[in-house]
Amino acid sequence: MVNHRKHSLEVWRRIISLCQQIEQQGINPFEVEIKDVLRVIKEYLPNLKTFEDLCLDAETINSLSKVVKLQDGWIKYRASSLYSDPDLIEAKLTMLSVEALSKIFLKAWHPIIKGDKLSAKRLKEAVEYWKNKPVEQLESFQPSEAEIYFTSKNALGELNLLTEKEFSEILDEFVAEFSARTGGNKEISYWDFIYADEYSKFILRAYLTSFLVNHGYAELKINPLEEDKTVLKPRLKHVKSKFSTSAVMPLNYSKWLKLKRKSKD
Amino acid sequence: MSEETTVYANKIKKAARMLFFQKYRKPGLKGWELKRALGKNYLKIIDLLNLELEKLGLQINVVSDEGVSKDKLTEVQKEKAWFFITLTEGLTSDDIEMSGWRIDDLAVLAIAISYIISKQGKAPRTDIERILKQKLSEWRVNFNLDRFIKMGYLSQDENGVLHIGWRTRAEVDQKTLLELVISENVVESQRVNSKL
Repeated sequence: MVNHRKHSLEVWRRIISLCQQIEQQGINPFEVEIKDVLRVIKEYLPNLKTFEDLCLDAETINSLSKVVKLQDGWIKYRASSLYSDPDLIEAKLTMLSVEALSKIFLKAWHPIIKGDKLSAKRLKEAVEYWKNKPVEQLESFQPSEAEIYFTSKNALGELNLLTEKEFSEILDEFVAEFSARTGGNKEISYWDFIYADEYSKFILRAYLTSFLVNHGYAELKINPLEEDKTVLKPRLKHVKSKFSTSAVMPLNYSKWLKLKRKSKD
Repeated sequence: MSEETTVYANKIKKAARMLFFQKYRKPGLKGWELKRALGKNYLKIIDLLNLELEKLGLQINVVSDEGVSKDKLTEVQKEKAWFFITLTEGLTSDDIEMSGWRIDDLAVLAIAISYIISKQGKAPRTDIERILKQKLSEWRVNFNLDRFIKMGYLSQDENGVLHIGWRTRAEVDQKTLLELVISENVVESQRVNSKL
């Protein structure tokens, strides 16, 4: 008798779990044969004894009623103009190129038009701000005269205001370098990894490393007692953590000089 | 101009100001707000404004949170629905280039929205990521999906299932999108892709 009851409860729980999966993941609700399930429930009902058992039965019926509602919605959707075979759509999306998909989207996209405005309150705040600025501070700023000329792409590149490569390409190369240097599974010192011969590149590498950590490619292990022993470890699965924390890494010129001296030794 | 015409003209201008300038975190206004500002004939004023906007290639779109088609909305449902001004025609590649959108971004939206529509309005995020990772790098896939959730094109629930967002309902002609995906010639697309 105990076994029958236990088996019945197990069946009830499985039915509830299946109904929840259908509801949450959008699976075809007709996977559940409602008539057959109700027949099983009726068959096992005499095995339920306690109040908790009956509550479980009520929950099962509630879950099944939600599936029936989903079945109703499914039929209405199939009859509507938005219905199309999901497998066909998936196959098309896989085979079409990025350019073709972007062109398709442009034809169906009608963006919202809006304008930003400055409210009277904000304008008043701005006026108060400038009114309260010390006159001496404003007068001390003397812009120097300079000749206006046109710049070139090369000049912007030298000033690091324009790069030849897109940021995504730079990041992809950085990810590849990280994989190569760690062999996919070894730890590497954070400071050794971000160090570069030039200070500006040292900062850039630290910035790119923050993307590696944020997007789950690497794990940052900080030693609170010995900051120099902070390491990066590759993650086998690129999973973004649900619980995000912040870590402050002191990146300054003196730190870079210290690393430079260490690399020469 | 008669007094009645003047009153209507002023109300049309007021409606245009209200709809163009963003008041809340998201653009547009609810029907009841327009009714309060323009009077009980607010729908007539919106229709008149729409006629003027059509000359500029714009239109007023009505979107209900329940997903009811705008043609089937009752008076009561229209008061709860959102009113937006959108473009009537689609954009060109040049428009997109100037606005800072990348073709990768548009492709991510096309894939995500089409797939979710084909799955009756919701699909696990992992399924969409699987298709996107065949075309784009992993970090870009996650970055874009998170960005579009923030912008309102998609929404994500606590079970990691993506739904159509309010902005997609307002901006995207879902029927046209699906029809174009189905009818697009794959061979031609791949030939163009290989040339690039």
